[in-house]
Amino acid sequence: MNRMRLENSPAMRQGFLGNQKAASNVVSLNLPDLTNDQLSALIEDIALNRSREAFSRLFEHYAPRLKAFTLKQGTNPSRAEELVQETMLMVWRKASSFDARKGSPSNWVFTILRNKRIDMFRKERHPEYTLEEGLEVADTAPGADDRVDESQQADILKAAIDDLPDTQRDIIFKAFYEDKSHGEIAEDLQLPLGTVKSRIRLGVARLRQSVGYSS
Amino acid sequence: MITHHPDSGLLLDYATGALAEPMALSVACHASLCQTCAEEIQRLEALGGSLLEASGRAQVDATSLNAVLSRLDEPETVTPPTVPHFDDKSLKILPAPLRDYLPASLGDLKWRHIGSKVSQFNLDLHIGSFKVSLMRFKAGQSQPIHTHKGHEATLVLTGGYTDQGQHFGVGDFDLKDTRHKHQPVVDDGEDCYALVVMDAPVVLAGPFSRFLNPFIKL
Repeated sequence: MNRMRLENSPAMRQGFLGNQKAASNVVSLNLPDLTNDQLSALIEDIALNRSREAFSRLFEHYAPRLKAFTLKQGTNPSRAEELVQETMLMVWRKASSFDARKGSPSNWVFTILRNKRIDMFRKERHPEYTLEEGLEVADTAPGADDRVDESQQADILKAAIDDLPDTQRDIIFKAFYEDKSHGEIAEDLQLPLGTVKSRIRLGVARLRQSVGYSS
Repeated sequence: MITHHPDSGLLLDYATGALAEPMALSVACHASLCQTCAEEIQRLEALGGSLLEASGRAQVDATSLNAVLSRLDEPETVTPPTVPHFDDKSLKILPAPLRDYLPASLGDLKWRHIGSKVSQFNLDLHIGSFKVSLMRFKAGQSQPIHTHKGHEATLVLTGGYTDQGQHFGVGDFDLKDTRHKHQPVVDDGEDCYALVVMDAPVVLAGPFSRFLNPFIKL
């Protein structure tokens, strides 16, 4: 059980923006950040042309981020490395399923990581929803009209997360970083299930407002 | 018009990947029919994407990129499940995620008949102590009063029913637990097909851990 306890972690004490320097295994690689459009173009180049060069550039962008995210989730380094490689392999194989209209490249990569994690660690599948004909999802990407790059977009969201009341932020962090269900979070925090549900609802609604999600 | 949705906690669990596969299947089927929940899930996944961008970078092994590059041409070891050819009626009734779990069209499934009012087909999805079934309830019939040992998540696929004064129609997600004693009355006119996910007759350790696969923890 080497799960990171966020409540005791430097990330929680220093605020979310300060946590990059907090973990000793996080390094600055000084690579220029790629914009959303550039990342999308790389994925499309893989889908259409099976471009290994595009894949290598995408790997340089995502692999260190996937590794950091997975380490935060408490996965041990060798398993984390394996998960990163398997996830990037799925990015190569599933490139044609990426649709820039449905969300940003990082949202898509996050779902691939999530599904690979479920596959590797639990031997289960994650059934994906597919809206029936006639139903359409509005573009829900934050600031979808602006061609902001991923890190700017992430900065806006980070700031919005930092602005959340602690009670709401804790739950969102536990859900994404500690791999806990809302039921387990309720047990952890010794809160009634209904309280956890309403904090999730309020927190997500607030992020949606501050980040300016459409719809 | 869908009026009963999975709550904020279940949608978050679906997006983070914390839901066990049977419950995730039910939520995925609901979200295939419900634009509101599909959009909410997309926002939650976007939160995951932004956290991925915002979590910093960690050094990957020096050999990592070459290791993956050398595997790009490998054939996929896992072959996708062969999806049967469904007839039009089945395609109309079954949300896309559910089709991956059925061996044949609705009319060709080996239904188990429970009395004259109910038929059941158990999905080949065995996770922990979950039981996942496709149910067919005869139109206009009232079902026996029953309670549950654990949770029961019902997703209505055709027709509908009324239970405890509430009506559930196509796309509605109905989550009940041990506190509920119920006697659904199926709508007249059309048989009611529903995806039903039940958790254990076995009581799991904590009162809140029911949706998790009880056997495998990280």
